[in-house]
Amino acid sequence: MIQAVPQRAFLGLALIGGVALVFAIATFGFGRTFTVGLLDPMINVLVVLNHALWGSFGLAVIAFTILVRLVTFPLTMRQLQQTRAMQALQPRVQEIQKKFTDPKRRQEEMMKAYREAGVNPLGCLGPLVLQFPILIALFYAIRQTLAISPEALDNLSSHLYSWSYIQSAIPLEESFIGINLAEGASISVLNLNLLIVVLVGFSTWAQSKTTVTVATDERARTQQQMMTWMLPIMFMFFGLSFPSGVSLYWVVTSFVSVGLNVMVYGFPALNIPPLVGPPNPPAPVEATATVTSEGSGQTRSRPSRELRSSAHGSRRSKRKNRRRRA
Amino acid sequence: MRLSKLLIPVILVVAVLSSACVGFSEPRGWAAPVFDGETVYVFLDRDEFVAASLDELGAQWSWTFPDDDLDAESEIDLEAVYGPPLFAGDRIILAGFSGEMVALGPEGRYIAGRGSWWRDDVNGSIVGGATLAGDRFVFGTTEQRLYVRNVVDGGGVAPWPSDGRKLKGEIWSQPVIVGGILYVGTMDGNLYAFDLESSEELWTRPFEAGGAIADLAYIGEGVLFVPTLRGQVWLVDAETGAALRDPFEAEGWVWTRPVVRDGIAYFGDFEDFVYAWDMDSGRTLWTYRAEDKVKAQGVIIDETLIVGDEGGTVHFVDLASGVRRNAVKLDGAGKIRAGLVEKEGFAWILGTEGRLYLADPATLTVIEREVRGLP
Repeated sequence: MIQAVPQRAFLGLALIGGVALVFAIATFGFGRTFTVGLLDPMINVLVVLNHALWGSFGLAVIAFTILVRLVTFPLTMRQLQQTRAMQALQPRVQEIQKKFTDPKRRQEEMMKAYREAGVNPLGCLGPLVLQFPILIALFYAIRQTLAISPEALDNLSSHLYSWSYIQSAIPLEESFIGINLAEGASISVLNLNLLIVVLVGFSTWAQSKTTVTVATDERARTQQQMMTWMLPIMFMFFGLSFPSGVSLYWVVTSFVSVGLNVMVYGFPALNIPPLVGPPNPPAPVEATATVTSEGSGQTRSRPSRELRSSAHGSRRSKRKNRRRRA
Repeated sequence: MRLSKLLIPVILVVAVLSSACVGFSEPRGWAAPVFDGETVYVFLDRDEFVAASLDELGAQWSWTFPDDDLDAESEIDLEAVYGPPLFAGDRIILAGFSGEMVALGPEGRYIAGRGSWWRDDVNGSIVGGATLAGDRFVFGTTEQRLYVRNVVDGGGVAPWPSDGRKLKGEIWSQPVIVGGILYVGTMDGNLYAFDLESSEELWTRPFEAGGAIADLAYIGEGVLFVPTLRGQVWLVDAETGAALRDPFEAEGWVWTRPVVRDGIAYFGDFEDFVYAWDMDSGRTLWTYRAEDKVKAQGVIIDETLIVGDEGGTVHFVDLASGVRRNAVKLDGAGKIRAGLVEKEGFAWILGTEGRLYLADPATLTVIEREVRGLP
């Protein structure tokens, strides 16, 4: 019941927001809605923060990234908790996949398992999708606000509110602790712009390492392991050509993600337990994975993976899994 | 779930890439065309500098700089040019956004200097372009440096520091030189005056405009026209550096020079307005609404003010009343950011797509003047 109220409130808000969004897009078109509804407010907040934070655009980017993460915190937490719940449900999902060959029946059982555990399989995707326009707008906002060319400054004027406080803050200072936020980096020039590209790689790697893996089979695990290395390299490559202001945003948002991941999932490698409890109190159905054998109608219970891992550690679980597979 | 885990980074990457492809911040330049007799010099595409001979049909291409087939020019990258080319004797000097400067001979070929023409010598980007004063030229950069160079080899001129004089703000406006005094506005809202010979700062303190100075003009009789991105326009005494009257309050950014006749300044702003401002009385005589931002300096021909806006529309406005006489939308012109140029009773207009147009105030029409024979 305690969980139901915020969930209903969340759904209510999402519904109102969705209707308003559809109405706005139908009336003004997608581009205009995106610009007026997201991009312009973000740009103006960035300019205000820059003015308030001693004219430092670097501090403004950091403050703004944290601000956005705070605003989207409920969405992020919901996503992380759903992911963790999905992870806890994986042993049962595996069992169902093994036991039921009929796809329809398997699907039914899976949905039943999800329902009983209070998990929506798309629940971890939904908040991410909702956050996505915000992230893209933020990316555009930083690029636009930096005004790295006269044309960009010309364009920026179209996005600024006509408040004197904002107008007097233009143009913004591009330099931040030796980093030129308007410029990218070059591997041939050893400077702080290059350092921030390295930080982009490190923070992306750290984010991947602290994210819970929900993969069930070896192939998927290998893929995810590969992504742990591929993503940082890819983002470092982008960091070379993007203005360092965008890279700074990425570094800050990644480290915030790392913090949230550790808070919700813990970090077993350093013996850090999760600091936040599960989204739902462990009901009997969550504590034991109930599996119905196809045809026999018999049921048996086994402890969930989450409970096992807390008692024996992840290595023990892996050994057991290997033995079971063998 | 596994799919979503993989999809999210992919979507993110695509979004990031698509953002990178958006060219909203790419420098393209907005240098106005320059006429020398029957030759027009124009930047048709970023740093593609073209000379063409005017004829009845338009213009016949003569040469293009840089020529990538020539070793001496293949590595030159001006990136974009915002200020006019300088004609110093038999050479043409160009200053690019990349910070690179080049000197060209009469046939448009690069004159190799002793190295001072190269970008390594200049700190920052050149936005406003350079200003010529005798055997030297002056320009400022986004790295807050003011350079005075000689036209022979682009080298420094003592006592000005060869690595530029450091000011407090970025320099985006083209410096103004009147009677041996150099005026320069900065993006932190200060206007400075220096003695060009001695490099001495003349006013006891810079004039504070309260907003970024992205353009600057001398309008005669010892008066500087100082527009700001805060929407205020100041008239400043060139001798004392004092404001001559309360500032004009525009609706939006003013990033243009005025066209002046009989003590009235005509200029536009970024809220689409064009103003007729009586500088003696301080009254606004009329306000005209264009269809987009007005960045380009207009021209007055007979009793018609011709202005172009960033929507690519050319407006013919009655000078006395501010009433629209005609407005012509130029398809395919791009934005009109380069100042309009008057020549023999016509207004020449350059769009950001590199196409030249001719506006006729007598017929209130605009026709394209193609540069033929481009390689």
